[in-house]
Amino acid sequence: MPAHCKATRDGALRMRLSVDEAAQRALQERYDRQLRLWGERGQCQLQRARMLVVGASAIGAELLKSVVLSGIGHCTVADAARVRPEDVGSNFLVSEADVGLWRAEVVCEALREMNAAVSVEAVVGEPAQLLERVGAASIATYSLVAVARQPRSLVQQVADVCWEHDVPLVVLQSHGLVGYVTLVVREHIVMDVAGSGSAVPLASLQLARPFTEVVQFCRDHYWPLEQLDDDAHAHVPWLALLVLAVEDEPQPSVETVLRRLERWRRHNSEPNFTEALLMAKRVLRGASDPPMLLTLERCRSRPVEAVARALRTLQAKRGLPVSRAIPEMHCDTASFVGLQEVYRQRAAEDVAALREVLAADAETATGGACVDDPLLQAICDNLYNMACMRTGPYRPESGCGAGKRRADDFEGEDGAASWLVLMHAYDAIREKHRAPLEDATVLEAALQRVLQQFDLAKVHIRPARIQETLRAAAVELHPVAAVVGAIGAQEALKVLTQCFVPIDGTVVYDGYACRATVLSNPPE
Amino acid sequence: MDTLAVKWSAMDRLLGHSGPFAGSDFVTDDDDSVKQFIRYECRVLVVGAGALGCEMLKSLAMCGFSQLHVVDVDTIDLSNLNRQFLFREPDMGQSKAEVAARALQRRVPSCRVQAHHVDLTTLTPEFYRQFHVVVAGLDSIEARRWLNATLVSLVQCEHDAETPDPSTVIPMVDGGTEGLAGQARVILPRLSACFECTLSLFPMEARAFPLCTLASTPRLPEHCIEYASAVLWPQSERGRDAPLDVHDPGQVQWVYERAVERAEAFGIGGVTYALTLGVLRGVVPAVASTNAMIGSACALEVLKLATHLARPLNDWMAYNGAHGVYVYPFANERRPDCAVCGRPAPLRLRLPRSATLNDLLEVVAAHAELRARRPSIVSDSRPLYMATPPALQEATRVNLPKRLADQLQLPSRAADRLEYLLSLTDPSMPLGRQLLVVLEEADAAQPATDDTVEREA
Repeated sequence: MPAHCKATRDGALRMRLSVDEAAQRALQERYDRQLRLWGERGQCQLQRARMLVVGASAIGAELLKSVVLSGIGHCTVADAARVRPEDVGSNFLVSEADVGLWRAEVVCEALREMNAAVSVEAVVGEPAQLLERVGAASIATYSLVAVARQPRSLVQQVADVCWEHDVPLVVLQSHGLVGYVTLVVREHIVMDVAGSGSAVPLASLQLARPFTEVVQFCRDHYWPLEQLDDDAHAHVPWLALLVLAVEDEPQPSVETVLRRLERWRRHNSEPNFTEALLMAKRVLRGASDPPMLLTLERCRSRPVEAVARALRTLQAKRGLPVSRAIPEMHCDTASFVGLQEVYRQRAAEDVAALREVLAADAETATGGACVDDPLLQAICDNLYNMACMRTGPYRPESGCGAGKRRADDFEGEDGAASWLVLMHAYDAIREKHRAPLEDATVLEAALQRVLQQFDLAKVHIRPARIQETLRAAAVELHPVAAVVGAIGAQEALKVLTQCFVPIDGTVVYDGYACRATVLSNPPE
Repeated sequence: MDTLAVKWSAMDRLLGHSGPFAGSDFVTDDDDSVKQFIRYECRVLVVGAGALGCEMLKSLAMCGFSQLHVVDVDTIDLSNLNRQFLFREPDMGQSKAEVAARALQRRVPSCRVQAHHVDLTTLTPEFYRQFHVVVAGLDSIEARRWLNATLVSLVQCEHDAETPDPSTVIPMVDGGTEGLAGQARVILPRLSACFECTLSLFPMEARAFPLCTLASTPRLPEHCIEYASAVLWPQSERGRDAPLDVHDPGQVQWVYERAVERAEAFGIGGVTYALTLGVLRGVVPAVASTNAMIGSACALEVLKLATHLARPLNDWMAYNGAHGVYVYPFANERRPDCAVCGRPAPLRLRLPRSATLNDLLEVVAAHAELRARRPSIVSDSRPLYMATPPALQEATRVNLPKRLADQLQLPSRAADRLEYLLSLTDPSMPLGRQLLVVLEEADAAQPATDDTVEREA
């Protein structure tokens, strides 16, 4: 674990400011460009994450390169191969002098050089013993497992263990100019769908039912509006105008509020009223519970589920937590700073109130589930930006949607699913014969077997795609392996940082058409 | 070992076999001539040795391209290391192009990489003419416009002056990223849509905050930082002599400290060093994975162009990884009136009759097709305003507050408007542009804004 990340008693992390200032500044600077995407919380999650990557050919190496550069905590690289001459022509992390050495060890050495802060470990051995050497039981200790270009039986074996232990899984493959990435998560909580630096969600201002303190502030400073001079009138923040327009209405209708604002407005060039009229429609029409509250209540993560229930209780008692920040608006400094402070204080009280509800509830409802302060704060901060996603378990045909497939997935111009079954068919042969296949009938027979096995017997696969699959002979073409490896890395980073929304199944990349299509794998 | 000799390597396999998705000019490489071409003849220029450039260089080398050149004027900074994988901490402060070339050659000894640690605009057309393909991983729209226009200008046409001579067309493969999104495209100068044809697809850079907000009603930490750099720095001892250097840590620290003071005075929180850097440098969020995806997608297009092993992208691929994965190709049309690759008509700009030269400068900076931020304007070969050289700038600056109508000779006069033909040049527009400025009676014209600007029919 990196020195500046410290686990608190309850498993939460925060940047330890006690480490010397220069080292802290250096880390901030090194990761500055990505901190702007997923924030300090995301980076800390990443820095305490442990990832297992099975397969160190070009595609696995490219995946590793991106996650190591981003500063993941630890990577174990398991691979059964020794460096062959063809690796030198496709895998950037090995070179000529390495031929004959264990590939995982060579790749780990290159990764260490790329980012010394990441701990990297190689596991090597004959294919049959590889999983044993990793230790099936130890898979549960990883934050995420990736399997890159491995035999189908090994993929399934790893996938089953991951599913059993709730460990997210990424499967990667590339064949010539096409490839795919599959993500399997039993349950994944996205803390922030839009990433750090996105706009304050308007719903989090809770303007449909403004809280007492903000009403008080607006009355004290702006009411009655008639008494303000023209300049002050044109600088009342839109947020305050809405609070004043809705405050005595139990169920404010948009129309009433708009009428009031129109009546108060002195002339058409008051920019704050223009903003308020626009915002009234957005804020009041969309006023409802956070979309994810319902989902969170039913999620498997005990702490999150406990917080979701507590939020319901809080909602009935004093309303949902408000945002700590307010959006930029046309007004003077004092108004903005004042309103900002009202929201900041209220948000802090909301978190405290939520903590009390949880404490009172701990024994009965949550079974003592431990909810730490940073998690509580993060949930309150992201109430309107959270999501919960689930996929079905891994099967080779995941995403082909047996039974409810769309014809287009196979037969349309896109035809992502047809590339997927062709890759599986070729892999089924390749696992028996290493040499490239030249006989189309062998591939077609394998394809029929795969289609049957996937319950897709009636599907038509375009002959041109069969021929191209033969031509490519499942080779790992470097730029394509790099594109697919990068997509796999990006999905892994999204899962580990809990920022942005990962794919919900398999994404098939088609390097001929420069297109990628996601085939969903919904939970059963 | 020579990678050409490796049996069943990926390149051997694909180049040695044809398929229905191969390009129409593809021939199976039975005599290794295509591989020889990639290895010994095909000269590829990589412009930019940042995150995209590193990835492009690496993927091109792994395809066997061995005659590479790389141009970058930048030096290595700590904040590059989360994605620019050819650089290490001890390389900080050194030339990106030179370190990238050395690192790549160490890993792939058969690849020859020549580094150019210079500004791309200082290289001559003759320099660019020597390449078969140019691949760009640049972070500025201005630099891409310049490169695009240069490559378009290298195309020679047949006698009719219309049909391009294909042997003079140097394809430009261009990549760009921001956060978890990006795009890759293939430009065949004078044959397909060029960068300038589609300039409006790129958002205008965010406008600066209004000065009145900065001076009297700051609300956000950004306002305080902007005030410290735009107002306080020029008044400071060092700032009187030189504009703020946003790459000088001492000067950034100075701005940061002044911004903190101002924020405290107004009761505004949230001024941090990282935010200061972001505001001053217009920092774009970036992560290794997105750059790897786009950089390698560009390298794949170079491989397609050089070998015809598959048809190249026509002509744009959009990528977004923020919500699932979205990768989609689409074809842009060439613009017949494109200012770079077409036959541009003078751009018509409507301004009120009282407009000054300064007003015109603001319009050309904000116009989506011009984005001329350091413009020079000439009327009948008489300079109205020259951004460079400093002596001319000094001499013409006095014209800025003057009304246009008072400075110009009238080419034509209509009952209710005055029309003038002016020439605009700007560092981002190598070819310049004719402007037809129409001054209208105050009641006929709106104040000059984007939507009052229209193109001549």
